[in-house]
Amino acid sequence: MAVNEHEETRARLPLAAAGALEAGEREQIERHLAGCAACAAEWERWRLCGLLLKRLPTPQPSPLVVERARARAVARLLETSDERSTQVGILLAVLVAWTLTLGSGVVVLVLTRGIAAAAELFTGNGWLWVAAYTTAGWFLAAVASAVLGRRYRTSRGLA
Amino acid sequence: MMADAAADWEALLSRDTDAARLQRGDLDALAALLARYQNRLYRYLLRLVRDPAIAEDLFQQTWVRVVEKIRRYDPRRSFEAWLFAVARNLAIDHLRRRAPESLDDAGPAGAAETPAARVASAEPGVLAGLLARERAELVAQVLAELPLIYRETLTLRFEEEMKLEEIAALLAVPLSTVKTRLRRGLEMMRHRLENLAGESSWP
Ligand SMILES: [Zn+2]
Repeated sequence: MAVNEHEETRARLPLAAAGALEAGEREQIERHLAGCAACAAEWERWRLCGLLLKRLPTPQPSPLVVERARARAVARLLETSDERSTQVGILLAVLVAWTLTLGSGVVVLVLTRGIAAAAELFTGNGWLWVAAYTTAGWFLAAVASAVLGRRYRTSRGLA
Repeated sequence: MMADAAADWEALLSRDTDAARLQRGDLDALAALLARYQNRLYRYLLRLVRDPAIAEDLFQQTWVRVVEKIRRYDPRRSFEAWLFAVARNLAIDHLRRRAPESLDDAGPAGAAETPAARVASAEPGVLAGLLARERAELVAQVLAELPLIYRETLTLRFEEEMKLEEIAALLAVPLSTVKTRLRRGLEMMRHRLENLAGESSWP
């Protein structure tokens, strides 16, 4: 038997014990081991090494630790679903606010210039009127909040 | 055979269903996943950090992190691989804080035993003698003394019974690196076990 066949086999034995060889490599080794007592003895040691690792008793977490992990995870889960529902709530509020803002422009248009003006929303320049109304509304709100904010800061002695 | 395959498939499905149910906030699914993975997960963490108190703490943190990130988990992929990756990140963070230099440590340079240096150093029976139940603690100790990259790869392969490809994905290294670590880790294991078993104090 060629010397390098022994060496090749020996070099592969640890991986064979780890079940990490390709089918071809494995067959080659098996053939060699069948006819070589020295390599077969060496294989037995690697096999035992792997077996010792496989047979290690499984360490177990104490039931108390498992229960604490569950409780902490449940608490976190409830927190995150709270956070999510808060986020959904804010999103809904923003949607409602926008609908009211844009809708009020249409309502005022209809109230001041009659139902026929509503048709202008799509055909004429009614939408321009609504846009202007809405912008003016936002502008007024911005001015109002700036003034209120300023007054608040003054009253708190911050300005 | 067919029945086995069907049972396997069912088990696989129910496993992934639990993860999917947890995504919808189902607390029973959390309990089911905990029961299924608690021992394996704890063992993996213990092999990584070696200290039971720290492993227990990381175990709890892992499940908190699981519920925090469960929405980002893709149910088409293996929950097990995802869970182990979550645990691993926490353990590696801990080890990095503890001793930053030891993470990529391949062991002391002197420990580079060549195969030739330890060929047939002990009698054939000494390893077999370690198979006895009461000797398991010694084997666990030898495993724990290996550098991180080797003890981790060995536990994933031999204890967790992961496929090589799964280990490579979890560790984010090429398959060839997994093989190198397995070979090198087993060489160290064998060398130390034979030395230990061959010591004069050995009955
Ligand atoms: Zn041979």
